Amino acid sequence: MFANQPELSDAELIVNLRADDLTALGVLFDRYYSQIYRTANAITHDSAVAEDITQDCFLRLHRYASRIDTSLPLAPWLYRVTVNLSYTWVTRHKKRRVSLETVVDYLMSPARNAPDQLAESAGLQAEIRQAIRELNFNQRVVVVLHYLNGQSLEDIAEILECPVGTVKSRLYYARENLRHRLGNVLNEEPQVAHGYTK
Amino acid sequence: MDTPNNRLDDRIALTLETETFITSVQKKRAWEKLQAKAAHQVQLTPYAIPPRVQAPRLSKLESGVLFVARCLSFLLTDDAGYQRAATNRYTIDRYHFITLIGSEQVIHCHSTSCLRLRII
Repeated sequence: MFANQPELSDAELIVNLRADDLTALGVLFDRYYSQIYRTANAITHDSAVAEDITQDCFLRLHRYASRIDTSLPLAPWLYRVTVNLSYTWVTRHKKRRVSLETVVDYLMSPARNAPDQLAESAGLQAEIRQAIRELNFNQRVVVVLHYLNGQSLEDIAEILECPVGTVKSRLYYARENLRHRLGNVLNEEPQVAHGYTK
Repeated sequence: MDTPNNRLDDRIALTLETETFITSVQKKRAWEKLQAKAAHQVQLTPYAIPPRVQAPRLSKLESGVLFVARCLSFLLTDDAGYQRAATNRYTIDRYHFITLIGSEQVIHCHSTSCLRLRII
């Protein structure tokens, strides 16, 4: 969308954004939209909510531009806002039952219908997705930030504003929960190497 | 090496990566919506940082007097240290000393309350 814009750093774009330059917001949106939307979607498991959270996150970026420390990287700030907004949504909707739309969305998701997916693989992914969904909020956030966004433990600690040891512990227990939940499924997984089944 | 741990990690990463698909139309629509909202939004002003007040520099004599005054104040008014010493005062009665002339004497270190009274 903003491919023809000069390559500016995040800090320079924030400085421009302080002068209410919406093009700068557009470039930042272009740069971070996918990461933020994926993160929100992986935490909330609701595409409509993820869309709202992403919108809200960038609106806050616009609103708080003058108060953002440009000497620090922007990504952790965006992730922190995303996690906080997701937390608010999740705690408010904790007791809500799964909506019909979510079920339909889940059944119609491309990963399930992709023609090149092996049936076993799709089944396994659905199992893993469900297992991640069943993790508690804190563990799910750490899993998403670590595995989806490739954030280091130190970065996650900075985003969540907690000690690295806490992040390590959450990740450890999340993996243990997933391993426990998926134990049988992972053991039955077909071994595929270079397109040939062993 | 393909260990069970690595396999689990790979599977989690793959599942999360393939969970969400974003189309260019979706992104474009989201941007238009954001642009419309941002255009009507008022930006916040920067935080007003109060100017730092420089403490006046003291001369060496003033610093020395201040240091002594602080030490005396600590000794005379800090009750926490006094209470701690007073609570454990009986534990320091067990020290034994041998004098140069060879006679063994046991010196009782009396309660710190005496010590404190002497300072006052």
